[in-house]
Amino acid sequence: MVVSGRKSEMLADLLRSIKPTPATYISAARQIEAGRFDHLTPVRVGILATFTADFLRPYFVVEGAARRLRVQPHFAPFNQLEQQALDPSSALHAARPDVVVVAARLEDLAPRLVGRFVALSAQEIDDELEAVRTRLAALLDGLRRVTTATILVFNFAPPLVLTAGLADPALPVSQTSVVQRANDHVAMMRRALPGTYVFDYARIVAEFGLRRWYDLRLLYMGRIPFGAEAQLEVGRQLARYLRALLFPPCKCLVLDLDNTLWGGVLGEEGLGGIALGEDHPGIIYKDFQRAVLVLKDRGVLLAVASKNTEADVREVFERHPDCVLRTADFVAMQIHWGDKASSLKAIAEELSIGTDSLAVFDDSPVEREWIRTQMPEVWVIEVPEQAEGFAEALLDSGAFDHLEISSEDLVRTELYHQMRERGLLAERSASPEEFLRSLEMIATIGVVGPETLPRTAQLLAKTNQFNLTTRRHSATDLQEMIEAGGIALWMRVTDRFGDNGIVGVAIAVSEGDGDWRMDSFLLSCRVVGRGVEGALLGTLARLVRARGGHALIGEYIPTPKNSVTKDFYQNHGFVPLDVEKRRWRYDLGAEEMPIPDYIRVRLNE
Amino acid sequence: MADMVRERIYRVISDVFGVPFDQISDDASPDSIPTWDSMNHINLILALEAEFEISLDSSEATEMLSVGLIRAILAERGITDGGQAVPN
Repeated sequence: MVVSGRKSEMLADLLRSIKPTPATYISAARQIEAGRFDHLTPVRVGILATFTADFLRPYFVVEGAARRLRVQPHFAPFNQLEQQALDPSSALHAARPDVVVVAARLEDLAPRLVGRFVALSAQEIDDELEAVRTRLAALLDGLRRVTTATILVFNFAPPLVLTAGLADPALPVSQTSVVQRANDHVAMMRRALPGTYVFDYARIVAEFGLRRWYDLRLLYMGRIPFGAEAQLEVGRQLARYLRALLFPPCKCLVLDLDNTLWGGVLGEEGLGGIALGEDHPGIIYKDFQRAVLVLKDRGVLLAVASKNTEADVREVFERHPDCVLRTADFVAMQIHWGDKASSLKAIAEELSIGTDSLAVFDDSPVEREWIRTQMPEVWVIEVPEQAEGFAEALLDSGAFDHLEISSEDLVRTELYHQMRERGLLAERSASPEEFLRSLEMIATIGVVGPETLPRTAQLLAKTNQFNLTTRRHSATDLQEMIEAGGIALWMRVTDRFGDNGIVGVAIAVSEGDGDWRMDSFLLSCRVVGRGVEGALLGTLARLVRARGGHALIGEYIPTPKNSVTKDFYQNHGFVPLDVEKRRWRYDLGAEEMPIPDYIRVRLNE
Repeated sequence: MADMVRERIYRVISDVFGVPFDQISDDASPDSIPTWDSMNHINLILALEAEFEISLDSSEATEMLSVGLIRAILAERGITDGGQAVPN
């Protein structure tokens, strides 16, 4: 995401000069809300709360701007949850929010669970919890009926005072466990409702410190449940969540080696001299490597960019007993004495991802600055001076923030290794057809349902190249389109080397007169160039015909990134309907649309 | 060092209420500044506490109804530029 020069500098200067105080934040927010910086992504946020939330505004706006967002908050009147959420003509809905935050405190929803807890019987506790669950579920459900906005719902912080004091753990039903049960209900609620996520308020308060959280004067004077510092923390976290909702996480972490994955310089100290082990200071780096592995588990690809000798490096990854990371954990390595910006570009190309999907962790401030100036679209993680802080800086950077982890994420590195094997295979085959046939591809195509919805929405959100219309439908939009009678298909491709996962999406919507418009058609770049799109298109055509459709209307919306799809319709026998070649038509007639014969197609029933 | 405290107070007023720095005087109050409402009054208290690293009690907070009064109350805490604090 390249930002224009002067204005982004002004914003950067403003943000750099801010002290974490109310005065500077309020002043900065005023400038941002006056629209002085125009390269930010606008997002309208409605906030419903059982308390006075308005004080969050300046912190939310400024922290949003620091993450390239122009947050436009609309605070609903105090304690009007249902009135604002369920009434389509309310001020909340008039503000057309993109995101709705629902912030309720347990103190307000079920005061007895917080105040007189010890006096409650087990049955009364259950009843109170059930009442909270029912009220919240009805609120979210009702909200979802009126708006397609993404919903972010607060869970509950521990009470400031445990009613039983030290004896809480000894109670048959402890107050702590009750709050946890309430939070489990919130988590379950969001699973049932598309486009809904939990704002882990409980965790945020715990990490900050419950004792420091409240300013009792504000609580009693204005029903404001956080002091000045906590207001900043909530604003920052809301901005962080918002960013995670609107932008995909970085796909690949590029790591430096010396003084990053181990202490010392490998070329100087040698295999036995670098600090990496169970004793201090090696344990710091070993733990950092474990943190890196956690990211890999979450679905982040790992790469190396280091000024070193390849043979030396391989020795560490293959032979050092305390090196937790191994060669197989990385999908790309650029180990040479050239500059890091070139390494980053090479890595991006090798993995078929944009450079704006890269995040870099390098202990050298000089290298970080170099990358920042050469490639402003790369996320350069802020690295503290002391290595003890590396793991936290990495995991807390925000570069990999994701509000959901899909089954694809869990095996992503494995998938990329298989991709590479296929690349090698291409060199040895005689002809393209022989190569494609030798892959023994099987395309499994099914109708999008609850289990496949997240991955489908993910593909719609992040696929740029083989995407004919680049429509960024949310999970909720998709649900609506399906319920309205549209056809939404996913395609999974397996071949000799393994499972590529779900890599294709096709959506067609009836125009009413026998014509079905192709709202979306895309392929993940890892399967482009193999003809699998023919399998998806052919299956879509058959299903449309089975529903009584006479023709497929193809749409092409050109973008700077999708020129690879320019001739897609032409290549599949569509005829253009306009001069600009944006609308195309395929008569479904008597014959079936041909599917490449080297792909076996299975329908998922 | 002269006038540092006065300047810092004026700076906080300017930031919290959005009033240009050179338009602020000791007379500034909710009557002369439209954005000085009850919500921003709370912001003002929090901002002064952060700026001067002090904790104000409720009576001090409710009495700070003009810049002059702010200077007087802070002076009573020993936060002043020296010379007489300006009562109002």
